[in-house]
Amino acid sequence: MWGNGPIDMFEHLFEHGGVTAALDLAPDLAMLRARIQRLESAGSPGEVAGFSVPEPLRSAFPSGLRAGATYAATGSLTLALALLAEACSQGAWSAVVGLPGLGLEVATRMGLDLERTLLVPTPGEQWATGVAALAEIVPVVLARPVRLAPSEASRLTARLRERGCTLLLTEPPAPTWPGVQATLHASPAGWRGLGAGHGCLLQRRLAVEVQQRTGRRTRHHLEVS
Amino acid sequence: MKPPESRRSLALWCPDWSLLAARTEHGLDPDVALALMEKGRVVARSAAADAEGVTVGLRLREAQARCPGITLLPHDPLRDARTFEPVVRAVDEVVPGIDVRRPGLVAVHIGGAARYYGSEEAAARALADQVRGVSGLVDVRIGVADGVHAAELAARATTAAAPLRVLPPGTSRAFLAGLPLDVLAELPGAGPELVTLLKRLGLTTLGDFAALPGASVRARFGVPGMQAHDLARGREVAPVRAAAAPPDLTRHVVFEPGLERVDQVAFGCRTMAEEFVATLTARQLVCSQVQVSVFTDDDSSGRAHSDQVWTHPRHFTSAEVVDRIRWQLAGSGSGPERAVVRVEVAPLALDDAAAHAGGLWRDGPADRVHHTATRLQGRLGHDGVLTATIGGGRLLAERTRLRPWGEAAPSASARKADQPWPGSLPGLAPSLVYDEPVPVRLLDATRSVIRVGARGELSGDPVWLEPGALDPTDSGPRRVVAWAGPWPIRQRWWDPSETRRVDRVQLVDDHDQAWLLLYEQLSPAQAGPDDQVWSVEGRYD
Repeated sequence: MWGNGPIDMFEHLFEHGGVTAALDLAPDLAMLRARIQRLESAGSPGEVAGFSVPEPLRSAFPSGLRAGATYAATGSLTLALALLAEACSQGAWSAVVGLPGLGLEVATRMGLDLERTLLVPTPGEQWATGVAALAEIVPVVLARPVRLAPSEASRLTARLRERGCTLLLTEPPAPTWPGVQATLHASPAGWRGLGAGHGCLLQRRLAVEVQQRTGRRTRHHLEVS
Repeated sequence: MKPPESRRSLALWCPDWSLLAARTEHGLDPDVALALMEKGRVVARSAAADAEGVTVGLRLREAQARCPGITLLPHDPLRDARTFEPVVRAVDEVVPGIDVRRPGLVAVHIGGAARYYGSEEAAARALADQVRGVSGLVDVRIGVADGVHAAELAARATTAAAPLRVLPPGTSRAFLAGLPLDVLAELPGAGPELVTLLKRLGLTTLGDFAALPGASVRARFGVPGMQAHDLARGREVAPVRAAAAPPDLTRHVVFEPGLERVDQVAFGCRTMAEEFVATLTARQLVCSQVQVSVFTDDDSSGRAHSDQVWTHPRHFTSAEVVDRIRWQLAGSGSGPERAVVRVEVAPLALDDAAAHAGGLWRDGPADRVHHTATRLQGRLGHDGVLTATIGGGRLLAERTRLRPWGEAAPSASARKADQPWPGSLPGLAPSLVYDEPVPVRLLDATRSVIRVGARGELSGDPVWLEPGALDPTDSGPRRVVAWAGPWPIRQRWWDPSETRRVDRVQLVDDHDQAWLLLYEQLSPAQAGPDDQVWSVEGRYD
């Protein structure tokens, strides 16, 4: 059945492309390394590879939040919720760990689907186990960090990376936490709608300072209504 | 071998299936007067509507006039079929090879099941037990007879009290002979016109009709009349067709001119195999068994040159299907002697893609989520993993309904989310909600605690806020830069134990932090120290 002929040649090409390439590995390896590097760096503009971020932050994350990476969104739960809601806007499941009393109503108004959100308000000692288990099933986890042993933290981040689960932390983690991809710090920048004795809050503005792991800092403004 | 018309058949009939389906989908009570409409006329009505005089065929206006409180829904055959699916699956678990005649009626051959369960009655009872409770089904009628038609009529002759009727072999014809002609009207092949005509000819029972000579019936009434005649005589017009994989999943490829070499054929089958698997994937199915049929050009009979069943431990990918074709061709010697003109791949064993690979890596996301969430609940306790819905209410903590994972979501009416709730918070919702009130102090310019009067007015403009425990830096009182309120919330004044009088104030402090505060209106008897009247409901973190 292994006769020779043009069609047979095509067969080999389709089926055993890897084998032919193996003869000549070196240039391929170089090419792949270059590709990995390209992917690890800022990423090509306009191409959203991970989870999308709210519009005003797109310039800081042109390719979105990377799957499997850890981000810290500090200063404001609203910012964290906005990131979570936007990341799940394509119908992804999400989980919230260790945040009792989170304003779920504002989260739904931002577009979070509560039907696809798991809440673990008080994980206690089981924080790392819980996050690791949730990483198996949901692509985005929002959690308030706890103090973890460095070995445990690196094991958890490895798990997250392997599962492609993005972790959003609401507070800056301990300095021993391996690899926070970027830190977003929000500070309030004004309210709209409330006067002296009249009106009600309609809109708020957040100033978001993004510090990438590379040290690059950018400032953005996020509006929530 | 017995002729097909005398095969023992079982018909499982769910009376008023369309009504049941409509009730299930719309969450209606069984006692509600309900009618299903099609083209402006009633096609089915519930017992409650029947009691009010609503009959099938009535016009919409007339039905509403006779029963003013009636719920009218459009008749939706798709809904019937969709809700019937679980029942079909339940039947299939007890007796494989089922034939869904229409939503609400399935037919099976009972022979094998009767041998397995010991008797036809036992098999029917097992079936009824299996089906009862599925899709809210309570009333299940079963008839067993020679042939599907007789079985269906036997099922229709049952009552809710005695839901099983077994006609012993050979008695079906006698049973049919005693039935009035009207039963023909609901069966395929006949129609109301035929029944009216036969009645005008002086016939009243199926037996009268069956006694007419077949040739005369055919000459006078044509093919539909002949079919009805066959039905009346207990002949099988439409025997049970055991359900198999739908034939449209079969894929084939035609070679013109025929190909002689194995690798050529295999290459030519690639696209077909990919399409075959893609079709299954699109239907969320996987195939663990395929039948590969190879036709060669000397086959004028239309029979396959080789026909082989291939089984896979998990399920087939397209490359694996091509491999099987190649193996089959190579296996029959050094390839086919004649040119291959056609290769056909038919799925024999199909399975739900979500259920199939169970557990390790390829099950559906919902299953996996459920599995892991349940496991996590095992570690953290039943209420360790929650899901939430937003319901109705005035206070923020009341609006978020949390429930342990796996518990059914409250219905929209139970959540009361679409009701107006005067006093609920307009505008922006806070990102942090405190279930337990956290005491704070709201002070006026003279640094005394502000009170809300009985008429809902503040004793002074808020100027200072002492966040107390909520200020991590403990930097003392904060100046209020903007505020609004008080917005009164008066809950359940009719119930002294549940009544609550609170006033809400929204404010922004000089740290650019926004708050929602509640002022508890206490009766003079309950009044405590001044500090305890203000608490934080939510914070715009």
